[in-house]
Amino acid sequence: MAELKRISNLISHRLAIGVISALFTATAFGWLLGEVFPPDFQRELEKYNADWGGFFVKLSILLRLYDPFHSFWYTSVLLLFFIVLLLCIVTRAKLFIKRSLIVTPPNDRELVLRGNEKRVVEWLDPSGTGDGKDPLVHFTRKHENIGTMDDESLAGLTRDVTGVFRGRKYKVVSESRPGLVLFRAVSGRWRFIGNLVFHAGLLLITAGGMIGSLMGDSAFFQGGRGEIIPLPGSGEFLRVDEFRIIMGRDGMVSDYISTLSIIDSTGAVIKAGEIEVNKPMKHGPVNIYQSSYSIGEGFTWVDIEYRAGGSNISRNLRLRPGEKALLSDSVWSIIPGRFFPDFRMGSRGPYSASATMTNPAVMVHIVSSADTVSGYLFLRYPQFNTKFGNEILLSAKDIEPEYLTGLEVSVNPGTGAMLAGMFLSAAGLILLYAMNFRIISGFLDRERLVISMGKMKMAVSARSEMRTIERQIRERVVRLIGDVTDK
Amino acid sequence: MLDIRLFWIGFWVYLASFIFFTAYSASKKRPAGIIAMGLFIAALVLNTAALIVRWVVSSHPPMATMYEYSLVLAWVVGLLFLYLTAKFRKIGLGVVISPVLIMVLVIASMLPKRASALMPALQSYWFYIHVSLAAISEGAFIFAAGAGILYLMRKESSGKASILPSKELAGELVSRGIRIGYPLFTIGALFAGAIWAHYAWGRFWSWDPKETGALVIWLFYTLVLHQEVRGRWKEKTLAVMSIVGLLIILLSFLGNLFLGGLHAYI
Repeated sequence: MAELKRISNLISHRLAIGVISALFTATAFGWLLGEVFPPDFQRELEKYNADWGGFFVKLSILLRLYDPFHSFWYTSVLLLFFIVLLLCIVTRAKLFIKRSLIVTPPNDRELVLRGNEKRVVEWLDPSGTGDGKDPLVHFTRKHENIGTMDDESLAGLTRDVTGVFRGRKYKVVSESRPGLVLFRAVSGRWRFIGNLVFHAGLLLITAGGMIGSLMGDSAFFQGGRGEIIPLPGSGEFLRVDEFRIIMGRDGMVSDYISTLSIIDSTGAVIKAGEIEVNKPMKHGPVNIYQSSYSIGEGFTWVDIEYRAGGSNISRNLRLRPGEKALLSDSVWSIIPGRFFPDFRMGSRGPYSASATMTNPAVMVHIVSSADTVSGYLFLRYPQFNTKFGNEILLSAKDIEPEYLTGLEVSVNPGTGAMLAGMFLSAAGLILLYAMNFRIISGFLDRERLVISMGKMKMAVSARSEMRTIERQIRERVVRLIGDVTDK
Repeated sequence: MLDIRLFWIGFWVYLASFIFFTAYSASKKRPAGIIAMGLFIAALVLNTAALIVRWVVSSHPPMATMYEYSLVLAWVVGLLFLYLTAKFRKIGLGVVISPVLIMVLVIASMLPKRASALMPALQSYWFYIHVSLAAISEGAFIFAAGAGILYLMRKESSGKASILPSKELAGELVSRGIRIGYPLFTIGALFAGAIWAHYAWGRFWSWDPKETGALVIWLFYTLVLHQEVRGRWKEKTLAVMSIVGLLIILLSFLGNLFLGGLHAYI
């Protein structure tokens, strides 16, 4: 217990704020750094060595400035956040639960008199207007006492006053002493439990994230139909049976779907199904997600328009990869070669600069018995098509590229903790912010009722709440005194 | 395109309401205030109509592009303003809220406005939860910043009746805005986003620029709330911090235009 108290003293609010500030600063720094740091730093180390000097390059590598969120300094701050969060919860749990469950009356009148937004209801003038009935006369007549309110009447008034609070969803506890009733009314107490649950949820999320990054496994796979990849942690494999793109009416991709099979080492199918974005496949601990798609350097067919042998008639051909076709009216044949979704000519020959159809081009070979000539046909820029002399005029009209599925295969043992943490945190936040926490202390003695608020947030609303309570109390007291008077 | 026409008409009507709010603030003449409020309500109706038409045209809730998001953001700020004006009976709040709202619409006006079908990654019910809660929460933060500006503009009560909310009320509105925004941002922008990312891409978190921006916003407001609870940051600091928060939100929001990443839905 003493140990806990020592830790509790160490884990101050100030320390928590310090750690949140450090995490905020580190995240903001990493955020901006991720954008300004050259993305080719790791690939072009020599260039940066020459430009920046060895010291800065070494420092950048040491601090992992090219990938700040996986650096030791960021991980350390995150770990510190986790530890402080854990200790905060452990050391404050009891206090928070106590605050939620236990309400105690104030010890003495002074505490009430020192509070905020103090309101006083005098029994001599319960309506507060100065023209109320004089209860003193009536109580004196009824009880034949010396002119003060007796304890029984005080208890009756207390019931009515606390009834006002209860009607407004406050929990009220009171303590009666001779000639004095001390009470405390509290609303929104569950916000303390909410606070605890919210922080516990955050702890679970952080723990889940750490479990996932330490024990999880994830791999991105890109491939076409028939490709097989091993699944992590098992002797099983994933096979791509089909991949298709669905185009919308506006010509945009509306969905992409992979048909997959999980097979064992003998090729027997264990499980099969389709996955699409937002609809992953689960197989034991392994999750398979349709992450993306891209265009490979293969194609299903290409449509070619040609005129050959001096003919004025344009003809069309649909060719599959490697398929050879005779060009009518000539001795030439055509064979389609490589496909470049985004054609660029580099120092080492042509290449595709990206997996997008930015500048699609297909290589073609024109073959005769004596000769073979190769060239390129551009779908978007036919003016750059290779000229094959006057005998042959070629252009590519359409091409169906080979789409490659992008699959994320992952095992994440931290998923349960992450989801549970988010659920807990959300529940905690709802309790924390939906509950309007108010604490009002008060006392009734033979002359008056005094109520005041504790620590005040939202002063305007708090004042309005106190005004309403005061009005309701005055109405009740006036009614009660009227009843007494009538007797 | 009817939705864009409605957007522009709404924009100019908001602008006109701002001019009348300013005139009301300067002259304290009640008719100017009534006209300003009337124009503001008309602009909000146009804003709502633009969103509905956009929904019909694109066949999905208008939250898929930055333009649509800005439109929703402006709508949330407008609704919050109307609600709090009705509650506290201080239409002078429009003097600062309307220019903040116009700033959001100016950004919207500069963004591409073409409506298109939802891309596959966005075809999920998480999309609606994530984006709508993010918009409401950021709207609340923007409102808090507007109230923060008002707080800093206001002098201590001079005893004269004023059309503007009191300094104390402005301070409370800052606090309220942050307290409405924070839980919604945490649940909507962070948790719903992470769960959605888990189902869509197999990762809760990718350190994508937008995700990191959201984390920066969350950590910032976490810090603000802790300091407020601790009593270290009083109204004035909170007002300043709500404006700093607005700048961080803008940086994160506009970051899409030049940072790219998984959230590059311009």
